[in-house]
Amino acid sequence: MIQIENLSKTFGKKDQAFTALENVNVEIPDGTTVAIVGKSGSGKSTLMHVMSGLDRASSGTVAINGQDISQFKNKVLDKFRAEKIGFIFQSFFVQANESCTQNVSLPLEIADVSVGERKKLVAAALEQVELTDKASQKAKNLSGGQKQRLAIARAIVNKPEILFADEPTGNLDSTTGDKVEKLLFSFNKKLGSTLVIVTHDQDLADKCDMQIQIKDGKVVSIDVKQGEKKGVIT
Amino acid sequence: MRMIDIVGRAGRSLKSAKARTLLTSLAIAVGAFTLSITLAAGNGIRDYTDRLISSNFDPAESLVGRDKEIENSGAPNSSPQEYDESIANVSFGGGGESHQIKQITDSDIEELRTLSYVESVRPNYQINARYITRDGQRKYTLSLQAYNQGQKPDTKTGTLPDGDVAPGEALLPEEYISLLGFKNADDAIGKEIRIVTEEPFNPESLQDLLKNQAQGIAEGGVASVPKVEQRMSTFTVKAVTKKGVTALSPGGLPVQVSSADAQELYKFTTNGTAQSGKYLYASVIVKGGEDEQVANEVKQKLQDKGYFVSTSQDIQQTIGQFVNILQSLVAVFGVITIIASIFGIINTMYISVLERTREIGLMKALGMRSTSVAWLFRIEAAWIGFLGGALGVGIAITTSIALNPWLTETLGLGDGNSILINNVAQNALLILTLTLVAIIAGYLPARKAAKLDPIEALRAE
Repeated sequence: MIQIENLSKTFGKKDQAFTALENVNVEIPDGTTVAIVGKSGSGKSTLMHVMSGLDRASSGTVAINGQDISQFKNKVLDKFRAEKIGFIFQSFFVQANESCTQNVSLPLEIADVSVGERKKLVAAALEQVELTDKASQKAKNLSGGQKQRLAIARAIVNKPEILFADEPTGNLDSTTGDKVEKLLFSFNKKLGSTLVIVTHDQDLADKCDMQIQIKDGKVVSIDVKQGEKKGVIT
Repeated sequence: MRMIDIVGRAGRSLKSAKARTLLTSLAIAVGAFTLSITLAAGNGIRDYTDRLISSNFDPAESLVGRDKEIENSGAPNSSPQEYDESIANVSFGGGGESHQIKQITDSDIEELRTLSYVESVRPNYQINARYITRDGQRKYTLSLQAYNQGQKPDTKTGTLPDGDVAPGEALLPEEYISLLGFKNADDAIGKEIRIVTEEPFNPESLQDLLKNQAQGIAEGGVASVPKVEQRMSTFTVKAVTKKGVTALSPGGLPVQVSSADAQELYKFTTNGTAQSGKYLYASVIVKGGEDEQVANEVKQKLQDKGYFVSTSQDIQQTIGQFVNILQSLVAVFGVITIIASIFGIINTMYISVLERTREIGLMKALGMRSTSVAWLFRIEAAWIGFLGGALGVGIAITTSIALNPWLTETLGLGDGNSILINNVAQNALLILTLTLVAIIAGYLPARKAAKLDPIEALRAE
């Protein structure tokens, strides 16, 4: 459960202060697929950063499973991200000179997982994104779609509770984009992890259980698909 | 994140920038090479001088004299001293400088001989011999010395006695074999040679001269030349000596005779001069003086009696000091090169941080600690330092192996002597030090990487 209350985020100081998020209140139940939708500069990426513990709120609380992560010390927050969160970015951010295996094992190394365990988890993750045959290939030799699948393998390898995807299909053509979308949704179903997608692709947003519309840093609307999991505006 | 994973990732990221890594390490390699070669040369020279000293000095031998110059060799007195009969003028070098040395006298020698801890005393007889010859042969110049048991010369033929050579026997250097008309070295053994010495001043002949002159003038004749008495001593050749590869004296070998003969000839050649019964120093063999502690205790006792003493360890140290100074001079260049290469590392690491801004952002987003990020770059710098050190040391060792035979031959050191001796521990320490220096050089770039904000870093183009 992600509970956001009275969340505000301002950048800069005094005269030059810029409010990126203002008084956001959202509640996301576990296992929900959520789309954060809005134009560029609307604050949707900032919301994702604050929710995932990459950035800190200026005021308000971000509680995940009852714990306010905005109160965490840096060390605890790093550990929290390493163990509970997975990230997928628009431009993949795979390490070109490393092999697929090395790319996927990075989060496990950071989380101090033992070498034996690492091998098993990496092999499993690569299998799920159908890259087993590319395991020892360098990431720079992969196509765009393969790179994003590799990034997905890296994001899910340590079975995170929440998966954040920032424009995951933004750099892909529609066919490969569809494949990536399907993968993301299938993990949500299989692992039961919450999936938060930042996008301005309305088709993708429509496939999610919940849509959060953001404009000028404010939540304009929260639409929940009928008969499924619910989000609440308070 | 575990250190082993950090080391692995740092190594892989270096591999992806091979040319840059190699060039940066080459700068360090130049410094490492200089330092490694300097250390090797220092080892070689020290090893060589040790052999030189052990084959030229008896470890139990101390030089004992009355002048403090015995102790600080190479630094002559420049200030005037109070006159004493035992002071001699000695000239050094080509500058025509002479300086005054207070000499050790016969009575001192006698005193030294009575001391319980002294095995034997051999004054430094500087005998001014005129020439060496053999019946029916020409005359040749020579230097003549008392045989030094602690400093056995290499022999071409004949055997050296355990103690002193017997009076009337001589050790002949091989250079004289053909000059004196021997067929070969073996031919000379047991044959007689003649050495001629000259009395410097003869009071009787002066009186004769004065008498003769008075007479001559009275008779209107020519004054006769005063006669200087010469003495021809006959020696039997006991052995033929040759110069060893580690002989310290640059000149030819002296003809060596027994102490008794040397003393006799010294008395004769200095008779009536101020030099009579005085010596620059005496070689004292200390009982049990091979032990450095015993030698130093005896040195202290002799110093209490007003002597100045230089033990064989002291002499070794003086030469060692000279080697150290030379070595430090060259080492300074190596250190300067390494300081210059430190800036190369800093520069390379800054470029690496800039190049990998997004990668750093990703790693931090995935929860990597700032300290781990900093270590990632420090280890990367350490790899460069290690690589440069290993490369430089490797080249230095290869060079040593390649150059040693040539150097030994060119410098005429003799077989078995190498001037470049690589020491494993020294080189390992050198590489380790360079690795640590590189880590320190990587401090600022690593801090920059650690301080990067992941959101900003991921946004970077």
